[in-house]
Amino acid sequence: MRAYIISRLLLNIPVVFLAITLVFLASHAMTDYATRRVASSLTGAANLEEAIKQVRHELGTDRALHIQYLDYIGDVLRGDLGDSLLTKRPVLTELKDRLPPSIELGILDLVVALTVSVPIGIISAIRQDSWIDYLLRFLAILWLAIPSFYLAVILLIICFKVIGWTPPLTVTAYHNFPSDPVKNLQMLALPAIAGGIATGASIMRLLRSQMLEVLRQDYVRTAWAKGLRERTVVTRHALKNALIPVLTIAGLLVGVLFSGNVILETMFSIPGMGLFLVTSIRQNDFPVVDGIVLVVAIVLVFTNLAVDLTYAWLDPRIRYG
Amino acid sequence: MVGRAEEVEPSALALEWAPAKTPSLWRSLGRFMVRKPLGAFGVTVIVVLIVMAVGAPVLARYGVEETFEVPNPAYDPSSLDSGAFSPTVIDKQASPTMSHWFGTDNFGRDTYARIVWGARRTLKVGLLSLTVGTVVGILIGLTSAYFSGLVDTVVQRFMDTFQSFPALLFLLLLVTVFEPSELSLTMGLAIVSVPSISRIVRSVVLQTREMPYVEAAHLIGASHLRIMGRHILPNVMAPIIVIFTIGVGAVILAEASVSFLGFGPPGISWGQMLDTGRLFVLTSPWLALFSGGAITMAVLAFNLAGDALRDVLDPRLRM
Repeated sequence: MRAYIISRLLLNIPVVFLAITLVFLASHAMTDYATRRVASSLTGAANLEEAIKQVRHELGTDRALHIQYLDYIGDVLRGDLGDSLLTKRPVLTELKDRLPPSIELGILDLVVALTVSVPIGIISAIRQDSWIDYLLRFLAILWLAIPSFYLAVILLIICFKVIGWTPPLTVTAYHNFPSDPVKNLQMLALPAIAGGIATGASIMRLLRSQMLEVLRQDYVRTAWAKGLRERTVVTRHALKNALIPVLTIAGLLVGVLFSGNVILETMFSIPGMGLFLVTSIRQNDFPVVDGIVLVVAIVLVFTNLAVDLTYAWLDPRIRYG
Repeated sequence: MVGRAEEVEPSALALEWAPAKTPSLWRSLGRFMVRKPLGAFGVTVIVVLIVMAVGAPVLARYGVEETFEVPNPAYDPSSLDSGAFSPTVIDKQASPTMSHWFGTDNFGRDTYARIVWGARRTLKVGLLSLTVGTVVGILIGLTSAYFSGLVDTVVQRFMDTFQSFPALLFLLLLVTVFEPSELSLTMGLAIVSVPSISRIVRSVVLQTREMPYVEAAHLIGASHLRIMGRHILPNVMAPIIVIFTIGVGAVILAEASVSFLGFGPPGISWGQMLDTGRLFVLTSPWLALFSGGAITMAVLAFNLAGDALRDVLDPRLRM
């Protein structure tokens, strides 16, 4: 096991560098268009030409590409992601402030997704081809297709018509969970439900197919033959093994959740990283945009690594394969 | 039978050994429709979408930016109130009526017309980006898996890293750096779809490479290019059709997301309509409901069609 961990960690280093390089290439291809946009929003220069030169110098894009690249790697490794063009504070500090709401929304999202998808996936599998199965599968197909932001709009309408209340839609102060749980959940409940249901669809489909496969195995048949109750067979024997691929997906869903969060945060004015990304793009604050994408990329690389290692720990066949 | 040779009806013999007639295209289509009703539904909706996009000038009833005036109920020529000034007023946020099947939006434009015209953006971006992505993905997957070894491993790692990256973030990054035009969005979506396509192609190619007929072709001196194109490529086609169809659904969703955030190309798009519609969704939900519904139907159609195609063509891909 230890050898596997070490080898995976070593293999991860080039992957991290690859991710950094990709982000660098995508973001530092500072085209004329991008520079012009930044320059026009940055006053304090005599005319457009001056502004463009100033922007180029500030962002360092007037140097040769490989020098920029080496500088970039050096900065990233030291934790310096540049300064925001707007607030002049370090990008990393700005990100740290915006992290808690996003993390909370992501966790709530995942909780909703798992709460909804796991029971439905199990029921759908053990009652395969019954009318419940068809109904649930139909619902799952619908879930997969519906965009999370459309679902959020529908939930808003339903909320309004039925309860007469909506979550705050304009910018309001964010209360984190310890300080004011009610207000906090009021703000986050609807986007969490909308995002969770949309994500839950893929988990449900995967869990259902995995359960179907596992239920055909010999050891499950032995459990049935021993006369165990259905609940014991399903939970103690089948579910544990069926959940392994689901765990992989759940880990990878961290990335999907972040993308979904961008849209949901923008819709419900939740001051998290997603909304920060959108406002930074609108305000042409390039260092922040780069920084966010880079941070997400690196987090994802390490999340994938963690998922792989967990997978190997749960299923010993992987380590030696 | 020993003894004298029987006179056998030549036609009887011919019938016995005649090859089976391959069913006509219509037959296969009919069978598909009956056996996979959900897939048939998906295909029908796709056809409707194509008809909508192509026949928009005829089907839409109105233009994209056309606004409509209705008599002003507060019209009072003697009053000084600005709202009573003109005899007609723009019909904003109307509910569905016979003249506006889906109602109007906040500028008084007919929602049904805008949805029909919006089908063009959806289909254009969706189909074009995935076509480009598929071609590139096939090239990469085919060559990398065929000439396996260090190159293959490196390319695979590259694709894996790229695939775990959230597509929306990458698209937003592209949008900031390049001008948000249909071209940049299409190229961005194509790039994002390449890794999953190349992975499927690669797995098929790795299997096909070991087949005896490939080895035989190699032995009689077929060039690598010929083997790849003539022997391996046809096996790739069936999974590719499935991935393509399901991929269009994902790409449509991505395009809607980017437009919803306001970073899409200028011009009419369902995602952008949904964004506008949600601003007054509590008073006049029609714009939001119908534009979001259009997006959902399109994604649903491609997903259903892709699922059904997969069941028919290659159940091994079943998830």
